[in-house]
Amino acid sequence: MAEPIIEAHHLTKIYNQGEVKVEALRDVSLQMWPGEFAVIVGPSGSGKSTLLNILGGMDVPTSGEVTYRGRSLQQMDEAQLTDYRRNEIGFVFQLYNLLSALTARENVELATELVAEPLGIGEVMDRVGLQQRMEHFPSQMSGGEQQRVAIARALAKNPGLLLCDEPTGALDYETGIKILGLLRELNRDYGTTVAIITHNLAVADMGDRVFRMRSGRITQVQENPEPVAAEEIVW
Amino acid sequence: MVMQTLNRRLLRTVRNSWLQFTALVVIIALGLLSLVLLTNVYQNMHVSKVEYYRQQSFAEVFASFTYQPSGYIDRLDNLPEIRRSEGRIVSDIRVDVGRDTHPTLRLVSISDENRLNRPLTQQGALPRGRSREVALLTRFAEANDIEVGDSVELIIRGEPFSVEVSALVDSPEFVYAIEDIKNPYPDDTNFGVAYMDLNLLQDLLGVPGQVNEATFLTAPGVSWDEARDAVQERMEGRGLRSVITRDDQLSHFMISIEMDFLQQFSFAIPLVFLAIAAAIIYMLISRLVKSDRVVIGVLKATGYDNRQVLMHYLKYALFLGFAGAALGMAAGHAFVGPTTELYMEFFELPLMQMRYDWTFIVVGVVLTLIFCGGTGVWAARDVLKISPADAMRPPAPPPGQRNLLEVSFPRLWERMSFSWKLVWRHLLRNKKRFALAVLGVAFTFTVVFFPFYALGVIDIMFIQQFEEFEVYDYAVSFEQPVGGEGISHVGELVQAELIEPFAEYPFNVSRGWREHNVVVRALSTDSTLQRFEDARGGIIEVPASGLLISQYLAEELGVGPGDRLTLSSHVTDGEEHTVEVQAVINQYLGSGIYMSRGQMNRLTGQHDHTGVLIQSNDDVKAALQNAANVASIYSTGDLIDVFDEFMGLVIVAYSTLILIGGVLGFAILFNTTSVSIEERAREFSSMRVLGYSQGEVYQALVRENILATAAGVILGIPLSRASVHLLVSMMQTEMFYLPPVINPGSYAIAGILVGIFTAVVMLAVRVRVHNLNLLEALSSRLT
Ligand SMILES: Nc1ncnc2c1ncn2[C@@H]1O[C@H](COP(=O)(O)OP(=O)(O)OP(=O)(O)O)[C@@H](O)[C@H]1O
Ligand SMILES: [Mg+2]
Repeated sequence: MAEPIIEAHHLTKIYNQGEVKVEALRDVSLQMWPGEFAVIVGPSGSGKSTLLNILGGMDVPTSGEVTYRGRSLQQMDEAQLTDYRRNEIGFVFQLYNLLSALTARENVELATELVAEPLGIGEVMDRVGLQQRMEHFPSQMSGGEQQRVAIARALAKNPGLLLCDEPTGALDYETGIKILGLLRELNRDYGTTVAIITHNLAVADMGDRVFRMRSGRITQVQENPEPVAAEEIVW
Repeated sequence: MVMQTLNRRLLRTVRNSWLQFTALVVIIALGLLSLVLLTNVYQNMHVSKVEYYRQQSFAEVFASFTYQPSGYIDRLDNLPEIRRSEGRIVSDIRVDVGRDTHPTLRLVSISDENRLNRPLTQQGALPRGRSREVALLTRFAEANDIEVGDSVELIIRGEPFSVEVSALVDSPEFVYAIEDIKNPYPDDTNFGVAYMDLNLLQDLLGVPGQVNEATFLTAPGVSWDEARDAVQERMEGRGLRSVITRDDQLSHFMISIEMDFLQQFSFAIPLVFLAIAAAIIYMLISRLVKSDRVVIGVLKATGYDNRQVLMHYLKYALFLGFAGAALGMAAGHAFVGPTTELYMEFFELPLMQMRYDWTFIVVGVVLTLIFCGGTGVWAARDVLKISPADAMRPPAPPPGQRNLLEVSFPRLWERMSFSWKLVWRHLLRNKKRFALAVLGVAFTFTVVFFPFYALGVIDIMFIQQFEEFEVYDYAVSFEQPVGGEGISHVGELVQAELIEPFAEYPFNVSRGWREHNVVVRALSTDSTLQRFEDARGGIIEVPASGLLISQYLAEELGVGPGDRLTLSSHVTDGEEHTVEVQAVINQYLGSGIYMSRGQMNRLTGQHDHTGVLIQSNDDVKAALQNAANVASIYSTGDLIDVFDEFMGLVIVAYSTLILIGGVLGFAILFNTTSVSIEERAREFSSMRVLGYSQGEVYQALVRENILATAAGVILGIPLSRASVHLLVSMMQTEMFYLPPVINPGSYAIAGILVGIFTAVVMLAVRVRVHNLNLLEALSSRLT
């Protein structure tokens, strides 16, 4: 197999809250391969979001190191980190975080403006099934539609790594499935590496690999030679 | 109990945005500081003035006339309108104080019988009997380094007469000591007052048993004007020159102008500050309520009622209001003493009381309650609309819509770069806030603009007045009118390039019920030393018949070209003449009426000259100081010098104004920008996560503020123009007429300063952008 796209080496993250120390991550190491679809599962508070944020250059570990295509994030200055987020990372939030003042198209433009070779807005919107709603504002769209705009926004930069923190957390079952299916499709068609956080163990079967977390550690890494399609998941 | 938790939340919010709140508190503090300071200073001055006038028995009516027997004057109290009448001599002479130029000294007689206008002794004792002693006005003595016991030489009719200074005194008549209305600023080195025994003075001047002025107290229930008219009627034909009430007495008139200003500003300024503070509070609280929607829902679900929740937000307003009020009133309290003293010193008004009026504390508290509390409740009224169920719903994104620009100018919108679209969308969605920012900038612009307007206009006034209108260097007035040989005599005494005689007499000028006492100057029609400009700015000659009137008097009397005025004078033996106004002229310093010598002859039958205008590089004051017939010498150079000294004070005042403008601008813009950042923290964080750099996020804010500043400056130009016109119309007086001419450069300078203030705000908010928490966008937590 090729070089890993991103690697974590012995990450720890300790939050100091006065007297209390919270160890959100304890010695976490992992590797992700180009084009793979990884799922991170675990109970609430187990450190999933913390891990993802550190991988995305949004947060820094207390110790340990993250290397992206061999470059250490810990060696980067603020400008280089911004470049990293700008050119390599796509992020999808649980609560969409669209800019309410901007139309769907403009929310995507917000991303395409930034990079040298973005995907076409029309194409991306077509992929998420929203070409008819391009000129709508977030307030005029349902939660699922907003999340699709958010995915389009992350994807349009044509990132190397798409990080999604509970992208279906605020959506109903049906819509959630559709969103997951969309992500899986995009992963196949564009070869984008995807990491998805979910609470839901059933979703795990969709991933090429599943990382199980508990109390700040990765307790198990499960390989799925034949991942299940989104539509087939029942939970 | 639970409210305590909410209070803690309040304090935490305040602490997190301390700079924002501090700026607001400073504005409120400035408002209450100016209230407490100005009202108390005014009160202290007012009470001191009234008390001083009462203690020294300041007269209510003043008459001046050619010498009359004092017995006749003393008997004027048999007029039913007059309670007390006292004759005295007032005569301007020159005094040798050991300098090259001899200052003008106004000799005022005193006697043991005098009860009115008693000088207040500061040092030494008043002259007794016929001893060769004088009491000098303190400020004149100090300016000339004269002490009690020193000798000075009076020059009376060309003869030196040595006297000893027995006392230093102040007088209610010379609280603001100026020689005449043509010299608007006290020039203590060159003008003073000396009190001398009546009999001695009568002997010196060769007028035994005679006086040339009378001062009166009115009978109970009689108005000053009635008393003045009665004296006028009685003395008609007895050499009466003028009768005035205290209202027109020079010193009193000048402090009244100043105190009226103080009184008007003591209410206007605090209200302006509080109104601005209210606008900011409104913005902060309504924004807080909006972002606290879920919190409010949770509170209500927990069992808080509307009143309790409303109270929570009202507390923010009251907390800030009273923090500012306490600070402002404490500082105001501390400054009352020094500021009162400064004023008192400027006016040489002995301090009769230094009181701190606590009722203004009550006024301040009430104003704070109204402005801050009232605004707080109004801004938090949306609390009532939020239901407990709101806590459970995820926040709906604020409605987006097509904006005006997009709908009206789709082409333009298409072509606009994306980052500019972002700016415009936000701006048009928060129109109220943007409007506040624009108004704030416009207001700051106006405040900052005024000093530059004023400095520019002072320049114009002086340059025009002394380079175009009053081209002469000196105006000499004679004791007694002279013929042609008298003028030649002056020509022999001074090295002059040009000498032009004039005739000047006091007139009562009226039109209908409006009247004014004016010294009318008659000049030859081809005068080159004094020239006139009409309202349109064209140079005009003195008309052979009719008169020219300065714009201030024209407005006072309500006349324009073609109207007729009624003139009467003691020189016409009270006979009235009507004369047509030929033109209204521009005159910035002083005011007056001018006519040709021929016109004056027709009114008075007088052909002699009462003075000369002189153009000369010679020190005319020194050359003429021993000349017997010289009554006074007005020097344009001295006036400019004295004025220059005052410029220091003016510049301090203006710098303060600019500073206050800056603080106001900062408080408004910093708060609008901060709210804008808070409101969009989540969006900005999302942008950062997408890969936007801090600089790029910051740039959006910078652009918004540049737009607000530009719009504010554009609005500020007409606003400051209008304010200048308003203020100027309030400030016109007999001494000054401010032309509302605005130097375009003033706009540029004010604009640059406002730009600098905006830049300071942008530097201050930079920190906030840096501190934006990236993870906030990712967190699912909402509150
Ligand atoms: N800013 C913070 N300060 C202090 N502790 C934090 C902070 N953020 C996270 N934690 C703690 O770190 C631990 C891991 O948090 P994290 O958000 O990574 O969990 P998670 O697995 O994403 O949980 P969930 O599924 O509920 O989102 C938790 O115990 C949490 O309380
Ligand atoms: Mg999480």
